[in-house]
Amino acid sequence: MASWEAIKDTVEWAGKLIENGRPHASLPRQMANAVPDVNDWQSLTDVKGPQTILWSPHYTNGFGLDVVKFKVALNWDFGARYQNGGAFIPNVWVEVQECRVLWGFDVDLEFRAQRPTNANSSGQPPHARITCEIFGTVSNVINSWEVGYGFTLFGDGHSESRATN
Amino acid sequence: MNDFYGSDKKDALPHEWQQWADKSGDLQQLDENTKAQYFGVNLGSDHAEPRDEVAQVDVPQGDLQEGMA
Repeated sequence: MASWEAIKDTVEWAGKLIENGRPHASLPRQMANAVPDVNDWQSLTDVKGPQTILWSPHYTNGFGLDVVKFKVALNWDFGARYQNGGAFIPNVWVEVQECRVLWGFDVDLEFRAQRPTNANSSGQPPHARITCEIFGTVSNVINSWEVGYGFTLFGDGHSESRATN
Repeated sequence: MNDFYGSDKKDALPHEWQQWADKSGDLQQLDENTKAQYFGVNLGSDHAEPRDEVAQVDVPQGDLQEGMA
């Protein structure tokens, strides 16, 4: 049963951000969201943002060369109100701002988001929370390394992040 | 030309490394030390940080109270 107390996603994109060392040519501008489970969720007001987290790992080889270096920006709009209440996340999206992969190396990177939840308890105004992960591999012909970062985004604009590999 | 690794990626290397890459088309011909240094990597900084943070907001009740069971 639909309710403004419950939080749903209307978009759930999962896919490649970087494939075979190259950024995806046209990433969507909306990859995830966390909105009230009502029919008129598009009537949200007072949207703030975007808030941005930059993640920019680099791998350096024995000659001191940065053989792999990329910069990913995770963005989200936040603070959206439904009937002047709550704090929802109407949009989450990712940009690959830099991708440098030298000869002999490869990078594959993906994005996925979990179902959004309510960070507040019942009876309190809903506070959207959504957990996203950017993960993949850096490899060459000799070895392969898993790489990843997890992000939990909140409707009030704060976030928590941690390396997952 | 070593297409296995992607000649376009090789072109991004400094000139001396392009020459090295041209010579190393057959990976088996590389000496072990060179191979270990080129392909052995360390993860540098790997942390995420906010950029130009927008001020956080509160979570108001608004008019939602009217709809509560």
